[in-house]
Amino acid sequence: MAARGRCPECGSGSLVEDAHYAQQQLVCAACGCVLSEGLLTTTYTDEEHLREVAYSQSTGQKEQLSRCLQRGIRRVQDLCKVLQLPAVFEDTAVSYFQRALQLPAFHLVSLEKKELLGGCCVFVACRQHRWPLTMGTVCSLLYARQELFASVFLSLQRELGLSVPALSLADLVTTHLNSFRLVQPTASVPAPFLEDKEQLLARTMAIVELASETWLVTGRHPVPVVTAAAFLAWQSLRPGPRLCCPLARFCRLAGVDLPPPAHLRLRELLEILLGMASQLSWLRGFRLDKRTVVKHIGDLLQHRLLLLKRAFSQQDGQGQQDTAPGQGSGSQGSLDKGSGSQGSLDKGSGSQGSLDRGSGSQGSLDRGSGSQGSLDKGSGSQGSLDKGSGSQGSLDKGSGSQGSLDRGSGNQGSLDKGSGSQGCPGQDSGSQGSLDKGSGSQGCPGQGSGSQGSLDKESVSQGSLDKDSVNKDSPGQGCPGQGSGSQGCPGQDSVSPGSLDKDSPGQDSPSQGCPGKDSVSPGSPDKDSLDKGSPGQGCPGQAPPSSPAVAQRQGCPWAGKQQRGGSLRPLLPPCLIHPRKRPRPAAPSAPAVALTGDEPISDSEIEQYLRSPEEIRAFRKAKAWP
Amino acid sequence: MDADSDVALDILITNVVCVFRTRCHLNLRKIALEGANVIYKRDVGKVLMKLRKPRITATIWSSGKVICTGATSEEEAKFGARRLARSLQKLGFQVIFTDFKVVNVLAVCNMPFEIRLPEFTTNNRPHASYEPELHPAVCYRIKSLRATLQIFSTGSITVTG
Repeated sequence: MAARGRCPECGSGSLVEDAHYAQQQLVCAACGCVLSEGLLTTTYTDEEHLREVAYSQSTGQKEQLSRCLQRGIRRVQDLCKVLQLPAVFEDTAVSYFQRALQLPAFHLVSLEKKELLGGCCVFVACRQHRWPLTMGTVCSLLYARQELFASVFLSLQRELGLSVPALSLADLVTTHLNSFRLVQPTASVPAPFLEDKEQLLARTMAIVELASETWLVTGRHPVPVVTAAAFLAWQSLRPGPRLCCPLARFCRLAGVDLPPPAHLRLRELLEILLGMASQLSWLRGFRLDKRTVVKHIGDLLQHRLLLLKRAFSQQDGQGQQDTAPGQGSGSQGSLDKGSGSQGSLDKGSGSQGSLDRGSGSQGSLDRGSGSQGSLDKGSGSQGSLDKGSGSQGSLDKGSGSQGSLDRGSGNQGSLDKGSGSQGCPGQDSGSQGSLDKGSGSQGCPGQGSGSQGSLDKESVSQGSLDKDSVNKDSPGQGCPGQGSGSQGCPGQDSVSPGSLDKDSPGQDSPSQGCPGKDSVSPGSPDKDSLDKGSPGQGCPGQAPPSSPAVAQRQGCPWAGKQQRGGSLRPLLPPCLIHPRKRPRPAAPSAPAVALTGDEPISDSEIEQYLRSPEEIRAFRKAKAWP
Repeated sequence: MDADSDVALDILITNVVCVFRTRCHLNLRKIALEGANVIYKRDVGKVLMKLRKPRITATIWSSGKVICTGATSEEEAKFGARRLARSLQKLGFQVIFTDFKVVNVLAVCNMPFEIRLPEFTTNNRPHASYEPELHPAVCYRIKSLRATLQIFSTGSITVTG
């Protein structure tokens, strides 16, 4: 604004107020002469009107970060640098941390927890950007206990309402393998142990996918699965020199930690692979065990979809394509783990391989004894498997003897679990224990054809069949669960149709060892239903106790139709196949006397909870209590 | 799947937790000395007393608050709690059985099928939380019922709340 007045020098009227570096000046616009200037500095008294508000409140920046917050943010940033994360992650983590620290749930906690909070924020940021960071890594970086970390993580998720996507297994495999030091030759790693990263990665990925399809990954910690898969992949790429190297040594060479569950995962993976191998036509002639199957992992992985479908039947009647009247050609699935001789494997006769899982010998029957004897097919020797007890006349009946059918583990005779042999019930050459069809699925894959006899009373059954025998077994097994499906009794009941109790979780028992037992099912309701349905349900509970009587009925209709042995077991989580817990007692339908909670209490009932005076005196003296 | 007859789901209550007050101060030492089937935890300041008939474990604090666990039904819990109060009465304390409340009921159930946990979690996002590194089960919270379900891949489900 032009001020009034005239410039003393040039006389022009255009005067301008201008601020030169915060100093007010009156300047002539024409000649530039400064007419007057304001105060450059002010005194304390002059600034009185500026002192109404305190300094700390007047400054625009209210966020003077607290020391705790500053320290926490620095920690988060250090963590991100150590993990070499992109900058975006750092920003996300810092913002989460700041938000969280303001909440009362995290503001007043111990310093240890605040440190963990920083780690949790980094962890969440990584998960949200699909960066595979495991809790173990973060905990080790923070020197934190995993339980505390877990609790802080869960409360952070709850308080901030974050959605944390799941850890992606493929990324985890890539990251984990990157830390393996098997690429460059070093002093400790001999030449035959080195491996190309790409190949190893591809194969490990395939094995991990296989594991996730077969219920080995659900609910388990992912890192041991990846470790076990990497080990198998590494071994299979050059089996010659590497087969003798155990898992522990492999981890030492690779420079990674060996997590304790890795051994179990390895065993489970090998089980699955052996199962698949039994379906591979050019491997049927071999007796594979967990070492030799490693050589064929490449082929197995290539055809894994088909092999999985064939090996782990979930519907009954699968594998019915066996044309051979006797036992399908070739042993199906005799997969013997452990036991080695499948006996059933006699391919010649088409023994249905029984898959023995766990119990080894298919014949399963012989616990201890091992030889299925029955498995011979050909001459029809009854090899009866005996488990412990004598041999069950193995079912080999002449050529057709399914005999061995131990399917799965049950082998007909197998039904004897523990107790005597059921005598391979499969006497009927034709119907093999159709009964076992059902049961077969339970765990013993082999049921199919040979009907484990137990059910077949009609057939000569070396007597094993007899209900009596069966019955004997059951008591022998001592499985309480006959009726309900023996949970816990490994396979006693499993008598094929087992499916009877779907509900009973313990049906796995069939799978356990000898599935074929016909447990005397006390009142198993529908044997028939069992039989039919059983294999396929895939319900864990296959072991329905089929009463022998029923079994007999079943035996007949099945004549001629052999179920393809191969089915190892239904595809189930391993804890259902090998249950460790004692079976839970069935829920009482209603207590005998319905309690109301308000019944009168008599004195006599209370006496038991009080010590007598003599006792108290003696106690006092002994302990010298005041 | 025939959902009617044979697949009747059995849900089994395995634990009921309840609390009650005795409205009087309790001398833990005396209880420990004169009661049978007791465990005195001096460092924490409580006494554990186990009853046989309804199989119950009671935690007794000196303030008079008692927590009973181990019953298999609510009525049984109440019965056991009353029994306990009666035994404390016999020991000489002026016990009044008040503020009885069932705090937690734990039940177990089995599904006849397996459950794919990762897919289940993605389909039930806000309620379900699955951390395989921490726990093998999916934790499903129902806010309206204040219940938590732990769902395992084998089909076994544990309900608390």
